[in-house]
Amino acid sequence: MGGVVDRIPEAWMRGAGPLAVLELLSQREMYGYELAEALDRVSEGALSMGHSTLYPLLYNLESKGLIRPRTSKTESGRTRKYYAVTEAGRARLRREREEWAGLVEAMAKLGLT
Amino acid sequence: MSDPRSPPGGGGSGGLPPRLRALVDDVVGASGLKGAPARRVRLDLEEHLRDGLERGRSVEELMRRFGDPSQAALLLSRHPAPVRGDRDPADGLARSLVADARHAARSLVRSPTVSVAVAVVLALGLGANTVVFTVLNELLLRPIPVEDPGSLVDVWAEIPGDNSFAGFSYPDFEVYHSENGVLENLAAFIGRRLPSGEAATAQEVTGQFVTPGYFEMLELRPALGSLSFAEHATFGSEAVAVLSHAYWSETYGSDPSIVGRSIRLKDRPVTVVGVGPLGFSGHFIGFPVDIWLPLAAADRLIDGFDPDDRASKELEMIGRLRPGVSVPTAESALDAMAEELERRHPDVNRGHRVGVTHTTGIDHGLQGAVRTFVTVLAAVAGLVLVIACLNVGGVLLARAMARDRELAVRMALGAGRVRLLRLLVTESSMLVGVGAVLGVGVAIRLNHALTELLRALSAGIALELAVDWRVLGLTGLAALGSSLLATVAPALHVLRKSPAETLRARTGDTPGGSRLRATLVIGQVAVSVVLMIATGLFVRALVAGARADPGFDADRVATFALDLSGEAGDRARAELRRDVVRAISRVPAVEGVAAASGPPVGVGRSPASLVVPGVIPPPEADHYVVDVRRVGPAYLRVLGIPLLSGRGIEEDDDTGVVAVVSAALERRFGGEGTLVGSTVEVDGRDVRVVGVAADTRYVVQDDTPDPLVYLSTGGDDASLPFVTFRAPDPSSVGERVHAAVAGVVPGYRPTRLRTGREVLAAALLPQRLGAVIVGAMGVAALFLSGVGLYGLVQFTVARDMHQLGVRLALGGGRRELLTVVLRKGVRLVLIGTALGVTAALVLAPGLSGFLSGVSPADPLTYGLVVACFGVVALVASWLPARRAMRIDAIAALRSD
Repeated sequence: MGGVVDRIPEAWMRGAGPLAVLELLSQREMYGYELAEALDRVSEGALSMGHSTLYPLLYNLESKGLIRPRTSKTESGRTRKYYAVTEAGRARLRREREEWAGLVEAMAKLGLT
Repeated sequence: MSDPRSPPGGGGSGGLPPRLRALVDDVVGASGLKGAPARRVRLDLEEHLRDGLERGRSVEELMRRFGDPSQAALLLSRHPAPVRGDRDPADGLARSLVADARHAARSLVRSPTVSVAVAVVLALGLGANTVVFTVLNELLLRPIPVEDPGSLVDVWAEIPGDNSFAGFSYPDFEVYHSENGVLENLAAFIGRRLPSGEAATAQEVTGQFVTPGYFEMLELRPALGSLSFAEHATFGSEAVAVLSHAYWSETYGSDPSIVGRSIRLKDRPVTVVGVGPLGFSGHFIGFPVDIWLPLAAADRLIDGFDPDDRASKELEMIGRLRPGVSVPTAESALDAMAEELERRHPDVNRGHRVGVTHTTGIDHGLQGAVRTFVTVLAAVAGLVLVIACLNVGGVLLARAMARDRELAVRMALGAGRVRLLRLLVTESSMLVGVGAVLGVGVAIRLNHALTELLRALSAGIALELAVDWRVLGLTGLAALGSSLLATVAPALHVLRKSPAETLRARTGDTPGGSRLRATLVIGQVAVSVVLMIATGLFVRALVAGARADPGFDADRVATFALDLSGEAGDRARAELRRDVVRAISRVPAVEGVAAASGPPVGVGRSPASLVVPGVIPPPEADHYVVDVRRVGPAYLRVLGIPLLSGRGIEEDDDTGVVAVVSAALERRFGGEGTLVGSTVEVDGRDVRVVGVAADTRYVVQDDTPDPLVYLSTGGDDASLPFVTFRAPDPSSVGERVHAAVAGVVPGYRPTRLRTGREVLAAALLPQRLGAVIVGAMGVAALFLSGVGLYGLVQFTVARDMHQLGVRLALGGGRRELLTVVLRKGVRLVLIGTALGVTAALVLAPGLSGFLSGVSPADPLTYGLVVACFGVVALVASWLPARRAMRIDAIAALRSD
């Protein structure tokens, strides 16, 4: 991933967005703004989504039980919500990774590398 | 909305710059989220933005990276934040209903004029219906206030082939009372108006003479004293009385010392033995009894009542079924007794049969008429309510159309159609609720006015029109129905809608919505046309009835009742009556005087059997039944009824009974010129026909004159209680006439003098009541449909402002605009009127019973109503059209 296109079109993002968020959160728990910046930074802007899109996506994953929020205090005394992947989330991630790999492989066979 | 501005625990949005706060507000507001999910989303977005600020991002950068707020709102509405510890679903529903109610209230307050207008419209519709429900409740629903009214039965006599009143003689009653095996108890009664108090200041009261078991059968307990007439059951014993609670409180100020006191009835002392229970004024609805007396006192207080006379059939009966006995069983048992009585006394009981029905408080002979009356009333009021609902539906639809984009966005954001419908129903329910409360208020006032009207018409009817739980229940049901009916049109509109189509559309209007509104207006006009035509027909019948030639000189005669029952003996009474006639005829300006058994016209009949030699009686009978009027000498001349052949009834006829028949009778039973000189049998007695008189409208509701027999008294004019005299201006000589009578009759109490015109007006009471009630509703309907049309055209002008502006900009004249706008309104009214006229032509024949002298397809009425709606169409369309003419092309083009 990365660097080849400025930004992944919306249609692709519908499938890629949740997978990317689960992938990042599986590495460590993050709070919303941190997650948005990480997506932007790691994908070099290709997977960057309007922050407004991120929250519905997080709510969706949370309601499906794939991620779980945890509240903790910041140094300034504010409450902040950290998200981590649940067991169900990890299982989903494993499956989607395989599907993704299968897709990439199939595309490669077509000459799309 | 219930979105909190300062959520607890999160430090609030206080730390955010105003632009970011506004951003969060926009997103949460547009998402349509409410309650806990909205709070959670708000907190998360605020936290996110604060994190950004803490990481040194500028407000501009945060806003740019946030993305499209409307996109965010849309996504949030699809994936609202999950909230832990949600309340249970019922609580959620209650909360969202409250939210709906708040939302509905806000949108109603936003356009107060429309809301108030709609509530008033509904108040009119529901108020009219509440009045009708009150009447319906009083007449048909509310049981009479006695113990176990379900087992009470009316026992009535009838003569098959004759629909007029027939009763029982006292000897008959004694047989039924003692020999039947189906009734636990049976009582007989007879009602009379009686003068009460001292002769000079006597007031008329309604008295009912009852057999001793009456109150025991009804299982009533006295408010004071006793209700038992057991010790006064023998004819000739001391006269006693029980006062009704209402009469006792109105006349005696609820004085507890009334028991044992003597009052005067018909100038005789009567001892009060008790006061009836609160709320009981007899077992007939609408005809309250003031005083009950034992039947044993009737021979002294009722003129001509003879308890031993088997031919005097004036009593009615009410009974209570034995447990386990059904109405048909009781009827067949009592009818078998009637047959047995006929065998024993064929001369006086010929053809008499007995019917038994549950006691309803309405005389069985009147039940059909009462049901028709209430049905017509309910139908009319129902139509007014339908118009009101269509009207409200139109307003709600217009509102829904104006909010189409808002609704479409909500739908696009995932708000379900069910939710939107609930919002619409909530709105209409609120309007209907306010309308219902106002309507009940209106109804209470109208009931009061109607009660007063009935009293003022002095028709002898007094209804207790009170709003009770049954009425409120019916009004509630009507309100519920209204709320649903009013929601149908806007709901259809919402359900048909595709959000994408609406969002693409330039304005909120769609062709479907416009058609729906137009349909509503057409419906209102059609229903109003039906009502207005009914009103017109009633008024025409009233005018026709008032103008129609009654067959006698209504302008030159007056009549009054003369009670001579205080005089002992028929001979003495007959002599005295002749003296009275002579005394009145000596009064200057009086041109003639005659006595008769009834007033010149009336709603009641005096039936008698008639056998004409050579004319075959109807099937299963051996005689015809016709109306009979017993009259003194010169009666026809005094009333100005022309003689067509033969002669009238004169002084010489005192020696034997002769008859003058009406032309209608001769036409029906003999053919012109066949009956004079022949002998017919009236009530079993041979009578010679001496003349034929022109027809009079004896019962004015009928179009066709009834066959009528005028009988001479054969010298016995003791039972002619009505005196009629002729004078150029009869009411002006009334006092002198009464003075002349007072000179002859000792202790004379003048009764009310009624001119021929007044008698006719009283006979037209059903038409007058019908015209007043239907008329009021017709006017309300006309007003409502006018308002509906105005609203629609106004709305259309506002909607088409752009198009009208284009027309103007392209050089169209203002006159052209006027035509365009007017044409729309007029077209709708034309369609509605055509439908209404068609419906009226189909329905109006059902009213023909109330429409004497007027065709249900009366062209004048239909023409006037159509013209009336033409004017309404022009006015209701012209007002908004004026607005269209004044528009400024540029402003209109910019307005979109």
